[in-house]
Amino acid sequence: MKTIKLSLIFAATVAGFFLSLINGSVDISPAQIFFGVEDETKRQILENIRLPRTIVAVLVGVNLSLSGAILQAVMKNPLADPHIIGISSGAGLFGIFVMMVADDAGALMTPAAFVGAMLAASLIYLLAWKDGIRPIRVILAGVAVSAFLGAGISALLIFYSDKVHGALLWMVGGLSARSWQHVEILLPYSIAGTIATFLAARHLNVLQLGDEVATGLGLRVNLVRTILTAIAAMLAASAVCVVGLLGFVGLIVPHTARLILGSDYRLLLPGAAFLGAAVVTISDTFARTIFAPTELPVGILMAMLGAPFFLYLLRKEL
Amino acid sequence: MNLSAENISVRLGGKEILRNVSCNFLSGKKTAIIGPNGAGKSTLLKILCLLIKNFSGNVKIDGIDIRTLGRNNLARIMAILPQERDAPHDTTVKQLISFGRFPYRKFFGGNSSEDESAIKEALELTRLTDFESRQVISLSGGERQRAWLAMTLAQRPKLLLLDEPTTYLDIAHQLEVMDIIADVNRRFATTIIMVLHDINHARLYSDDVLIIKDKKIYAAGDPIKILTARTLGEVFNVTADTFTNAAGDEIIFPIRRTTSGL
Repeated sequence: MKTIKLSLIFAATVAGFFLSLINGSVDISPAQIFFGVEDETKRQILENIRLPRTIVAVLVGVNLSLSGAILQAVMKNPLADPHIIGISSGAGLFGIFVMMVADDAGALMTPAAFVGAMLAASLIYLLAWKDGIRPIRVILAGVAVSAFLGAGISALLIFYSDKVHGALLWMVGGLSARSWQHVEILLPYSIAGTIATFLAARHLNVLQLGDEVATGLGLRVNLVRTILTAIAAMLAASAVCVVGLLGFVGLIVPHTARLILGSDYRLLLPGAAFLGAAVVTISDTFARTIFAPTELPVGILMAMLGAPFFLYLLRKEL
Repeated sequence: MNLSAENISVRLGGKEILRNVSCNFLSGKKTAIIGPNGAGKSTLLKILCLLIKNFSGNVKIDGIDIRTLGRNNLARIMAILPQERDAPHDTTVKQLISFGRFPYRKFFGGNSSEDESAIKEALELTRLTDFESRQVISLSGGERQRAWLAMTLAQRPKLLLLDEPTTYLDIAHQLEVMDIIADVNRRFATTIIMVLHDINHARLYSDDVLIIKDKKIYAAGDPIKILTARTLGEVFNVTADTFTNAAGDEIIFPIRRTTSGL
């Protein structure tokens, strides 16, 4: 039964991928995708605009969803999402700082963003830790950290306004003009992060039983929690470097996957990865075509879906 | 397996909880730890299984310092049932019990035949076989406690540590849980160490008792000899009467508090 559900989610991912390739300012038919495009302009659009953008959407969806799924178990909090609790802001602050001050938007940006994400995560733990982790304290600490780091980002954007191209777009998160160069930035982190996360599925399951039970079952809770937080931070940081502060994917997707597939992480993780790819590709397709020729950043659409979802979870779970 | 603690002292949050406690838990015996609230019973139990690590002194299993064993190896010989625990809403009884096999996991692959037989055995010991596909959250308090107990039994432990295993249960379910623990001890010679509140459970279900009061061991030994009305007066500040039931067991019944005031 659950394998069927997982297959359906995978089918949605495939559908999202092709929808994203087909739709846009220039129509490309499904047949052209499979059998090649004659028209040179259309071929260029497909190969150098649509395809990389769609792949970036898939990878970002996977990264943010897995990051959220990990954080929800590690922070024992249904509302944990890299964006809400400030990990993305930490990544953003450090990423932008490197990009603007060091004039290097390339290879250095993601490691710097990772450091920022880890610092934000440590800060949240530090603030929220008081005889263990309480869900409500994580959220409150996260809101504070997020606001603090967000202020830093705004300050940077103002000081270096001459160097900011599409800073506003970056703040809400968007996939506009993402190219093969961005695929190259993301791909290694997506692959490494996904493998590491899947290997930790059983550890994530045990972590959900509570720290004392998990310890009794032989899990080195603090070590595992640190490693998993680092994986989540890496996944989120790489996504932030490419698409900016795209929120709520890490919140909505793991929860929906949990509703469909249950809370066994061995099934939940692949489900969340596929669903994340489907949600971001489909949302981005929708966002760029709904007000054509004006493109809506996908982050706006995600926030419109995500904020009510967050409130729903807040009422249900806390 | 024999478990011993030597010169345990611990401070938590700047407050001294235990001072120079030494005790020995005999292999294959059931030992009850009792004492007033805040005396340090649960703290001692958490030190014995390394849930609390920053204490001074040593804890040894058959003479080997447990800090040298490693978490996973420790989980294969010692299981603990803490009070603080949680399970996702959709966890079934069988899934919960399967977590008891986590210390034996291999890098790849599912349950081995030994895993399956351990899970089946745990279901039978706790009489939950008919409940295996039920969700833990849908069970009654007593059934749920048995499910968690079954998870620890699936670890096939040589030592089983239980923190107030009967709290929040009605009297029938309390006795049911105590009977299961006694059964496990009898069948597998599992060393049992349990924090209990009920003096009569301690008298009826344990071979040894350890009384903790004011950060120290007040008394240790045969529960029938130690747990008297007089001890209760000194440890809990209550006046108690002793009755003999039809089976000839002595039952202690606390009547009123000795100390005056609120």
